[in-house]
Amino acid sequence: MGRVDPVTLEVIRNGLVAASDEMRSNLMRTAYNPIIYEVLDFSVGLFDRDCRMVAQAAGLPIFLGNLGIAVGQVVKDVGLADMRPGDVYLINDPYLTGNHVNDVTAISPIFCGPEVVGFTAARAHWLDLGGKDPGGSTDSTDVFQEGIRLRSVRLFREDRLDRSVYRILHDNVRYPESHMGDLRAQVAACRTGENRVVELASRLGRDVVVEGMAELIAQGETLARQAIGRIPDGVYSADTYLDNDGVGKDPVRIRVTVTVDKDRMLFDLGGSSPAVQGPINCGFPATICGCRIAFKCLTSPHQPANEGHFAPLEVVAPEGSLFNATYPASTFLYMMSLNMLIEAVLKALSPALPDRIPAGHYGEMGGFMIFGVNPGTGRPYIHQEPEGGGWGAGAGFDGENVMIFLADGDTHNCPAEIIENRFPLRVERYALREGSGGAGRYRGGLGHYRDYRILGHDAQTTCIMDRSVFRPWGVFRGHDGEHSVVVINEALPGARRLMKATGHRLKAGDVVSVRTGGGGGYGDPLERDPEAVRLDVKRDYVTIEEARRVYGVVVDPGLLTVDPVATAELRDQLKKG
Amino acid sequence: MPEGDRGYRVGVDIGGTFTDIVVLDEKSGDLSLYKTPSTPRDFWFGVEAGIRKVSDSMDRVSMIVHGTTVGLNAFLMRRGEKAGLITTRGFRDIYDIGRHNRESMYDLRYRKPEPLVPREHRLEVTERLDARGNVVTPLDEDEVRACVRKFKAEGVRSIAVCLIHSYANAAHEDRIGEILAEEYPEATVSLSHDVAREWREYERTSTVAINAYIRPIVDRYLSNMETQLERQGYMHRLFICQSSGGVSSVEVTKLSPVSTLMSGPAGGAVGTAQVSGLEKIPRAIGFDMGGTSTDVCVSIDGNVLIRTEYKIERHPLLVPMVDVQSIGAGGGSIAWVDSVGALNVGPQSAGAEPGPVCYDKGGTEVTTTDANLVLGRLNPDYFLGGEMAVRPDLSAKRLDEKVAGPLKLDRTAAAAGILRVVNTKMAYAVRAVTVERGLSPREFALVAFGGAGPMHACDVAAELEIPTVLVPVAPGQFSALGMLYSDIRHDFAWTFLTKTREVDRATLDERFDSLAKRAGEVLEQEDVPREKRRFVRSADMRYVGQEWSVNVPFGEEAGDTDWQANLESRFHELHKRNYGHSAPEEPTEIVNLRLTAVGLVVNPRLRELARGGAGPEAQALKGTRKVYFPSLGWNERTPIYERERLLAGNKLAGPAVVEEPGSTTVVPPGWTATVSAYGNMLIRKNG
Repeated sequence: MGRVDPVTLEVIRNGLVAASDEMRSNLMRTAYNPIIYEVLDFSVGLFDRDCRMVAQAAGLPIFLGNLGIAVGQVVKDVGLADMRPGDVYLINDPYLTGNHVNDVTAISPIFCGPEVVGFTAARAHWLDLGGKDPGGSTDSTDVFQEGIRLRSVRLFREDRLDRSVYRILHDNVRYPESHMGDLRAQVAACRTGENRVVELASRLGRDVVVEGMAELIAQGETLARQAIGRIPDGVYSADTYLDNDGVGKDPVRIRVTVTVDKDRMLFDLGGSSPAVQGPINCGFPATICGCRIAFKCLTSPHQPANEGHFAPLEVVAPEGSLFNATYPASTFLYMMSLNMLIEAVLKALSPALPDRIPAGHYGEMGGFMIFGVNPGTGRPYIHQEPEGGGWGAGAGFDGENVMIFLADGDTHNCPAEIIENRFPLRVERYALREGSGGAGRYRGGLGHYRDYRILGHDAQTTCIMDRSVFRPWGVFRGHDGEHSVVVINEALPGARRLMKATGHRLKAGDVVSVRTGGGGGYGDPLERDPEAVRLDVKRDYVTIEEARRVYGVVVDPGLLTVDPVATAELRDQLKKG
Repeated sequence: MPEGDRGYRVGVDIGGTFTDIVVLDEKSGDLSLYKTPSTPRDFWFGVEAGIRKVSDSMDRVSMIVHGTTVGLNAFLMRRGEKAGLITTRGFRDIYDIGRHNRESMYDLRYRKPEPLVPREHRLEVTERLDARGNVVTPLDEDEVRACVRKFKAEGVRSIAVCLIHSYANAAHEDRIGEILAEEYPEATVSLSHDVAREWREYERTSTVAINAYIRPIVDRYLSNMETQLERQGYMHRLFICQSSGGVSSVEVTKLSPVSTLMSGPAGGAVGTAQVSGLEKIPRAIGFDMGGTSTDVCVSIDGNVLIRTEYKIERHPLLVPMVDVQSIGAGGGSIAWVDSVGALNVGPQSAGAEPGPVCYDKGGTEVTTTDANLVLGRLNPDYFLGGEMAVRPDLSAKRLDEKVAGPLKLDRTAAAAGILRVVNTKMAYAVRAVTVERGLSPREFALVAFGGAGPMHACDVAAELEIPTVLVPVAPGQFSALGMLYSDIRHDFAWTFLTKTREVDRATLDERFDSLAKRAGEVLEQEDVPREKRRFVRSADMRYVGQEWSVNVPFGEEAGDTDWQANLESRFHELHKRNYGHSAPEEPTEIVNLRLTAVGLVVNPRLRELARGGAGPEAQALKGTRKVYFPSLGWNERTPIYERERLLAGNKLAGPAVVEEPGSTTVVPPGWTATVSAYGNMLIRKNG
């Protein structure tokens, strides 16, 4: 047992978690930019004096666990000796702190008396940092096209705003009012965290809190090591590909080798593609973040994390590769690669953990947008949101239908009734995409159809679909799921199928159908419970013909009952053939 | 409609284990409390027994208010009716797709809430409206008839209808309702615009589907209850508690039982507002600590904060409810030491079965209640007023084994540690409830009730720097008591999206008037006299482009030429309070119009207590015992008082314990309790 008694330790634990939650609600309440309070594109956290995360309230998983790297970089750049109470530093360098320039982090030291006891940090997505296109580019080829870089820039000195820095920021972003509002919210969140830690220290004693932080981290590490102990030792690897990088045409290889050695794990990304021209590169801190998401899914999905939870994980990626991209590589769409990386780790470990890891999911980053000029108002509009899709089946369960991808979390879709109130579009269908889930003993979840009709004007669409080369994979003889695709004017002359397109032109009356992929199946379809197949037929998830051909189940078209004798015979036949 | 001075007013709150009955004599203000085991099969026996204790004849009962969990239980146990759904073509899967979010972000096996209507019972019809309610495609009535045939074949008898943009124009839903009534009269039909006339198709579908799912069950239950009451000679209307904290007649409730789902905590919330008003406390936090959870609500100037939508087991509902946050900590919360030696309390609970170790009903997990018992804070001979025997020796044994041993603490430190952890958790949760709403807990008093609330309240208040705790009369039956103070209330909403500066007042008034007309008809049906009717208008507003809206009171000023500016300035002000900033130069829009129709119920007054001296009455002191307080250690001769015998003006200096059959109040050292004229205890921090 440590030096802090277990009851006081719980008080500290609850106090730190509550403090980071309060920072979160503070930031959400006071932010200007809807991407923060609606899409939750932010993260806040508290750190001990060694820059180790002690509590974090994440909006998105994608921010899990690399804020500490940003804090460490600031300390390295500025030096503890030069920090004062009331200082606030900004950093957004994608190669040093992740994930792309839009993620701007504010960092403050926490002083108790003359001593730094820790740090507080608030990261938020800024829509624009003065890159070549408003909001970011899907075809940027270096960081200068994406926006300005900030590295440990001091915005406040002893609570006084540095007006020169403020003016540089203000004059070099496209929506300064909104961003300066968000910046104030970030600073306010840092202050909240700082005050709560100072209060805790004044009630319990500074040394007790400092010691308590270290013990909580040590406990987290023990927990994680215990969890790794439940994964069989071995070396596991997986390969997969993205269709292309958005600029070139070649598939982009992602390879991960996972080593499980008693109570520690190594993710080695050697063998993955070199950095590419298009904006899907990841700086090393972003890569660490992706690996930590995968690691957390495997070890402690339901517990609030601290740095200790990640101590047993080591990540290696060769410098200059897709996952350790260096200046001046473009990184705006880092999430494309990261999403695939997370799944690749899971895929590698699937044989070792057949009961815990499901088959692949649709895995799209879900980039889809329609934009144009609203004929009713004469003003430009843009409808943009990530699309959900089918998830993989696992041991004992069918995959879930239409859910947001792994690297994203509590993000909501936009209701048709709201879309139609805002934009000159009609949603003609938002429905499950039958047949998109991979067949299996447990069936993959279904993707969706979302069909938009363009009303009374010409518009454009940009989409970033992927995984047509390596579809959402099935496991243990389960089949792959369908991949996503955008179909324009199906069954009409001039119909088009799009995977990646920028500003594709649409005419009034066109119907754009966004079809997202399904999850992979788990296990042999010939072993699926015939009753489950019957229900799938009744629910129109699979046709009677598919039931027969893929699952070997004979369903009566009128009564929708299973013929057990015919089914047994057919399954025998299929197994032999 | 009770006049308020002639007979008995009865509140009946049926919980899982016990039924609480509160009978108030309108004339004298005398209050009688009864707790009887819930008799689910024929609960009426419990109710009747309670009422019989005060009156030989039901004809002296002027009003019965009933809080029921029948609908909630049907939902929670998934024992509802086989329900069907009719939607616009292309949208039957909205109920499955939902909002596509994952609340548990790292869970590879995360499941969305499962629709209550499976896909084979979700049918589509050809029809379409646009966002303004114009018909794009007329309703294909033959397809509706085809749906009926399918539902009949499948034995589906409760049907929900939710069409796209039906909040803007209800004609197609209404026509489907007519066809269903003609072709399938034995089915019950729930139309989405009747239940929630608000936009967002998934949330509205979920609301109307839950309504269809529970409606036949609630209907049967209420009809049966009415019959029994009539047979007993009760001549008035039966009122049913709503999630909003108001009450509605049985007739209205039967149409929209979904609005009763969260009525459980509503009684306590209304009681919090009422008692804090009575004691002249402007801001109060209701702290209802029960066996498995603690419900927290906020009341400002006598009004409980209401929210217009919420989720139950992640299923969204577009119906108003009192804004209650539930914390997973209560008397039954289990204390356990995990694999790295950390002390956890909850979220698992021992519930009522097997319950805490001391119940001796097979429970082996140490709970908060066991810790309280070991520390002398609870009286082993006075559980439920002495009706239940408990075993402190068993608590002590398990405490040693499960907590003290592994943590290498002595028994007292382990028990005190459990309480400290649970109090810390609750304090942070209460804090979150206030700061998330832009409020500061220090400006509030804590109103503590529920079996365990008054025992923990002062410690929780101390953590939050809240200087005042109020323990109301009948804290153990406070929900049932609160019901008696509920007004009749009906909430109507209508999504009407418009820029505030682009709409004329007449258009809005027309819509409000149409809501008021409908509301008036309902109040008429409930025999609410005109002078007791109140209509409160409000609008959900936001800055153009925002997602979330703020509910803003709508001015009633007739002929106000500046109404837009006034409305906007109220919006900016509320936005600033809730979110810390406002943008007066930004354009605003109206999203929903809301009308709350209230039928005022005359508030009964409780009888005032006789006045006593400042020192506690000698007769109230029933003894002393050894009680542990963290700041004092074991306090050998802690005075124990019987609450019933306290008089107005009595002051009890901590350390002290006040016992009553349904609850125990702990007054820690440094706090002093004062008994008010109405018998409420105000416990204040000294100095």
